[in-house]
Amino acid sequence: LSDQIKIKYGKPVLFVFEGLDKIDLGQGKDIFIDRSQTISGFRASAIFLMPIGLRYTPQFSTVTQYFKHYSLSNIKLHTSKNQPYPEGRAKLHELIAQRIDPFLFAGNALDEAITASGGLIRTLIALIRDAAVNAVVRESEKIESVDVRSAIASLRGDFIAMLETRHYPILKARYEDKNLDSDQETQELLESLALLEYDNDTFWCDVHPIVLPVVLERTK
Amino acid sequence: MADLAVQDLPEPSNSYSNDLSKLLVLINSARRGFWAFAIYNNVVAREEVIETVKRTVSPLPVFDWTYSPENSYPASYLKSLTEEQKRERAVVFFFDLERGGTDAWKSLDYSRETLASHPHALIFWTTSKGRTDAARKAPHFWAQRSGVLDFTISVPVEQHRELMGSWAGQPVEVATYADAERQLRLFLGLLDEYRALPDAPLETIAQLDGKVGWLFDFLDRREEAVSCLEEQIEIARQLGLTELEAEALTNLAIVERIRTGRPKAIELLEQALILSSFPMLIAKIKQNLGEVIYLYGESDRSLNLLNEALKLFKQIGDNLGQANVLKAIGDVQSFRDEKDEALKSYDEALKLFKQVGSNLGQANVLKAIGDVQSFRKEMDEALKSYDEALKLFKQVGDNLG
Repeated sequence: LSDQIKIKYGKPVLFVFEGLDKIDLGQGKDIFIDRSQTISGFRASAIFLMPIGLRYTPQFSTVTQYFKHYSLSNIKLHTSKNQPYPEGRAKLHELIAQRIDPFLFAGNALDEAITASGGLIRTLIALIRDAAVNAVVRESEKIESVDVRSAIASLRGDFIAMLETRHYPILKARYEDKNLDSDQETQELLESLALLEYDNDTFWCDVHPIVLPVVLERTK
Repeated sequence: MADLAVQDLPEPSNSYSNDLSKLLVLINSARRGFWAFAIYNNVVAREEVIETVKRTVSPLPVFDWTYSPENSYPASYLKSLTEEQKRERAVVFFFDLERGGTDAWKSLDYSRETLASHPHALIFWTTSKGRTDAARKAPHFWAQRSGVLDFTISVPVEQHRELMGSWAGQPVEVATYADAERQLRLFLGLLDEYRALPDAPLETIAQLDGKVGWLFDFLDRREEAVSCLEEQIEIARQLGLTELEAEALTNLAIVERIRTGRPKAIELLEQALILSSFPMLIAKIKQNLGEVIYLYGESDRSLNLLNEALKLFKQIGDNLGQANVLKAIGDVQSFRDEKDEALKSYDEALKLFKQVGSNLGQANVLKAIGDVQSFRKEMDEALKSYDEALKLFKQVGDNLG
């Protein structure tokens, strides 16, 4: 098919396989590890979305033999040594400014949302959307801290519902050492976003800021 | 069932009005598709929220989708919509997905893009446990949610029990398939709530099993109907409630008649007949026995049983019971090639179904009249009868009819 397209249009072909990041890790191994040779055999370029957990499996080296891989990590707001990283914060400010007029935020509301997002764009957008709904319900013309805090509390409730007792000590340990590893529980926590992955020179992780107070409270 | 208005619902101590406002803001402001999860711990309160949303967003169309083993993937709601409805804004409530287990949840991840591609507000009703399941089993879908609204209520235990009791005691009254689905949701929810109580009242559970079983059967979900009715029989035996056992056996026979065939149904009805001493139940048992046995060549005995049932329903003053029996008598007469007599019985049945306002009953009789007219090659009359029946089946929402 790609040859025919190439001949007809005289242009290179790129296939994009979406949605494969949503499959279970087991199915991911079936496709990307057991059949890596087959699926990399196209006479065309291809982009596959892959379950993030695969990167931490012992067999990931098989994937790296056949594919060039890129990771879309979260935007860090601090370094692994807990030093502030203003570039990350500025990037998120810029991103939000492209979607919503910054004058719609009162006081520190936007900064609070950015801090609580942990640099995870998905969380940031969800927090701002929830905060905006809260502001509309209050009949306020601006999103205020109270709206953001209510959105944070709601999201924290979702994390509490999702996490099991056994997860809290692991989260505490990752908060302290920032180390990523391939064990099952760490993978579960990355998938649930209770742990967030970052990179600079090396990959590291931290507890999602929204869930951190609960982790510290429950591991006293 | 009487209208499920909830004027008797006590004022919840942790009012969910703020979350209701948030839900309405989301629905009113979103021009593209989105989804949200609505958490509940009380089915009555859930129905109240639904009614309020329906009233408030009107004339925006509101659709319901309920999990069943035959219809287990939420994206299937699109199949029931026209192309225009798919393009227009609408609210869709999803119920009972957590009864479907991992596969049903996981399907949300796989169909996320499909679900996002229509301008519909998709509201998934779940318990707190369902919220956890959604987050763990459909993480990609969950991650793209537009909100989690908390409609749980907290009322004193005794008051809550009183409320549950008053709702569990409501009779089943079905005018349309949508009614049946709504009542099934309510009674199934109550059944879950009762089963979760540390000192679950068995008799109430058995009564609810009967209602849920009947509704499952009405909606052609026979495996689930059998499971509820078998539990009802077991509890009735355990508590020594012979009339309840007889009623459950009768209802199970009605289901088994279609599911596994007539011998099993006859066996169950004969057991029920021995147990019951209530005229109404005896009439119902005899009616069903009569309806089952004529196809085995026992049409004389069948007519005798049906006439005995008719007499009992007349004595009690039950017009719907009489109408059902007259329709059954007409079927036996038609089977015996006594077409004139059959038409006479059908006419009487039709009058009674009209009196009691049963559209489904009228539709079934009109179809039977059409069959006789068609057999007699009276094609114009037959078409007229079928046409009337079709209109009524459509009103009821009976696609099979």
